[in-house]
Amino acid sequence: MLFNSIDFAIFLPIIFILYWFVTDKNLKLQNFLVVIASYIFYGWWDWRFLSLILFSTIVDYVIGRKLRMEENQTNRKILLWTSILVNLGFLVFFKYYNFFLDNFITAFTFFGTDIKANSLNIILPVGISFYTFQTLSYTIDVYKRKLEPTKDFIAFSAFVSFFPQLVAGPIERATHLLPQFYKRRTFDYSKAVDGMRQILWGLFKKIVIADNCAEFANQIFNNSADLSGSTLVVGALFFTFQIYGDFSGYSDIAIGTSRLFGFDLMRNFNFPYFSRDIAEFWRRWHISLSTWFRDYLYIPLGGSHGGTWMKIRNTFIIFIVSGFWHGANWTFIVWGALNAVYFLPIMLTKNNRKNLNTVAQGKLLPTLREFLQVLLTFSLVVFSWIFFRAENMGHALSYIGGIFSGENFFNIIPKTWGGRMQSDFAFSILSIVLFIIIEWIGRDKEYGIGFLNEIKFRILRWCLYVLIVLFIITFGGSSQDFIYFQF
Amino acid sequence: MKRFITNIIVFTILLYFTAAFFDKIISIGLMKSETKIFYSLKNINEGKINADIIINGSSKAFKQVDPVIIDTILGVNSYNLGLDGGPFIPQRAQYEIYKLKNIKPKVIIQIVSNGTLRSLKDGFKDPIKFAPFLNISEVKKNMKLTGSFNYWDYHIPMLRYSYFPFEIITGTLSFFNIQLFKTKDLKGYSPENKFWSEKSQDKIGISNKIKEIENSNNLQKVDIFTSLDSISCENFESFIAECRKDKINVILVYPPIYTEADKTIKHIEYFDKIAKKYNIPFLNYSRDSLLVYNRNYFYNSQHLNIKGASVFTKKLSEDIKSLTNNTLNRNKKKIKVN
Repeated sequence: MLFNSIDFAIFLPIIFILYWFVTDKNLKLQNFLVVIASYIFYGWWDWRFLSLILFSTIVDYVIGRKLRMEENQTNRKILLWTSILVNLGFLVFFKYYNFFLDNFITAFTFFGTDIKANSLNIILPVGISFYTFQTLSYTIDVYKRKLEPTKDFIAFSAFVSFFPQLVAGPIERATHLLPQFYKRRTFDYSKAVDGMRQILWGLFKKIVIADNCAEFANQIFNNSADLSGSTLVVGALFFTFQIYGDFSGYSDIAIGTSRLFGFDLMRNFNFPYFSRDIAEFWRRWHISLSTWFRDYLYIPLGGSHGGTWMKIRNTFIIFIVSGFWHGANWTFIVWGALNAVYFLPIMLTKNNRKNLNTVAQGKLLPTLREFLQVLLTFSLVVFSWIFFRAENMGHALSYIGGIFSGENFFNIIPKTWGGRMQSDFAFSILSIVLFIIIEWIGRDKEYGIGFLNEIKFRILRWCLYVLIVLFIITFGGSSQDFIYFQF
Repeated sequence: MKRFITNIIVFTILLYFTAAFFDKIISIGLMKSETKIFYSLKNINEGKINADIIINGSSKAFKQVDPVIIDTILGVNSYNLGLDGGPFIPQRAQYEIYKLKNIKPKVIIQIVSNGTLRSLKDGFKDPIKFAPFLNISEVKKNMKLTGSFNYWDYHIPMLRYSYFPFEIITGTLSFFNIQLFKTKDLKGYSPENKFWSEKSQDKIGISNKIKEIENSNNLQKVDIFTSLDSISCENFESFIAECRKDKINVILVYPPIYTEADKTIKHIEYFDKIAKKYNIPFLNYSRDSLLVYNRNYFYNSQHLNIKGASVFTKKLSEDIKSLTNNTLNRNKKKIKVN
């Protein structure tokens, strides 16, 4: 079920009413309702893959219980690796099987040995990378004795399958989300209103920004060979805003929806395009995944301790793995590696924790220096997104080659675009400008329009909400799937 | 909780009425809009056409039949209602508005071709032009057959204008009588002043859309694009029956198709059968030797350019003239068919 669908608009109020008016007296029943709602939400897409979630839930629940009782370190390690292998096994099979097979065949062919093997027609279960990492965090934390394993299977199931963040995050830690299922939730008016406001902003980002940008990003990336350099730059910019609007929009809706049910999810985006360096960007982009890799991969590998080579190795590992997490394609790996290249000079000169506050905090506009820093970081990010969006490495390289080819560079609008397309193009640019202005104003808040809460006149506040809703209804792009569903 | 629910309800009501207000403004504005896709509907809705002859059809009517030539030869007042990219059901929806607001025509020249009665599974071009008219029951009934609008579009204000910022802006401006884009009035006719190109040569034998679909190896879709859809056929027949009942003479016309693309000429037998069944003329120019061998008359295999359209309209007018024994002028006699 998509957040930006009529189905969800009907589903959410029904669950809300059942949650607060029917099951509110009984915590177990309320958690059970969350599980049922989550399974319906997921099953709406493809009910067959519910068995994967259920299986993963049972395995990690049982292993968690056994880890508590087991004192023998070797047996504990076996249990931990069982969980890792089961969870990653599903992930590897569904997501990476064909990739490994194809590359294996290519490698052997390169050395002169022809191997015949058929790739499988595998459907990737939505959100598998997200819930796999979430359940893994539970087992690892229990193994490290950071978390007491739960006895409550219903609460654990609700934690694994919690519908607002099941398919595209934020990837929650068991230490943060699971305890919230043990305590009775009480309805908090201001929290719920804040949740509604965040949902509204998430929908704006997804429907107005991402979906409109998607039309042009797709058009330009799919026809890149015939377009001028400036159009290709514009295509990369459209994708930059598409992916941000799409993914951070989803996170906002997920966090806002959770608030309606009395839950707090971790923040996933913190205005990343206003970052002054790439390290700051990675502290602000997909925070739940970055911190996951930091805690469960980077730190165990030694982190930034040790010698220079170890730092370089660890940086490359974490960025390349992060890239590979996004998809089974060399383009994601190169995207990760490129970010490692961006990051290394900052880390090696120990400047990676220089910009910890918000840019131009307390000021209306940034200084020229801040502006140039933001612009440079943004440009590097836009360049890296070309690899992320391209179909394959050949496409990415020809796209970049096209930008620098210089042929008809300033011919931004292709002749093949009709009048409607040109007006939609102009409208999309205006929407992006409006979006940047709003995000800039709200950059020290939790989300873009968080500042609306500070407007004292209720009528004015409500008028602005109505305006945003009408803007979403009327100026949204044609509905597209959330990009991160495929990861 | 009580406060939260109350606020949600109040907000929803406020939102509904605001949306309904804007919906009304945009709808009224679009009904007056002079942009290309709304221009004919605006004239129809304002009851300004009242033609003796109307030309119904898709782009094959819109781009190929010049009402001025018809008027000159037959001494009548004609108007081209061709819908670019529109198969029969949307044509019918437009005709229903025409019937409500204008005096009934004496003759309808119904241009038919391979896609006239196709399935509407893949929709049709610019359904937004019907959005302001969805409150007319006959339009609503026909639009429901096309699936271009969903359940919510009919019931929640503003939803029908979702994803159409250009129409929202032009509609709002037009409400205040500000017309940013004006269409040149050629009585609904929109000729293409372009000539055969290399691209047309590549696409010979098949229309652009079919070619694209074929390239993607989806031959099943080719069938959909040129198939005879049972709902469309039923609708087509009921339209002809209704016209006969209203004493409106329908003439079916299959326009010229460039000779090397003659495999795209389809459903001749069907239109012939319908013509016989309802005792109406069927003028088939699909292989007309005056036009189909001359590439200078076409800009692609399926469409005549302005030069070809002129030759074709003259020939069509002369044929109608002889078919009706020149009785259309000043309503001297009733039209005689077959």
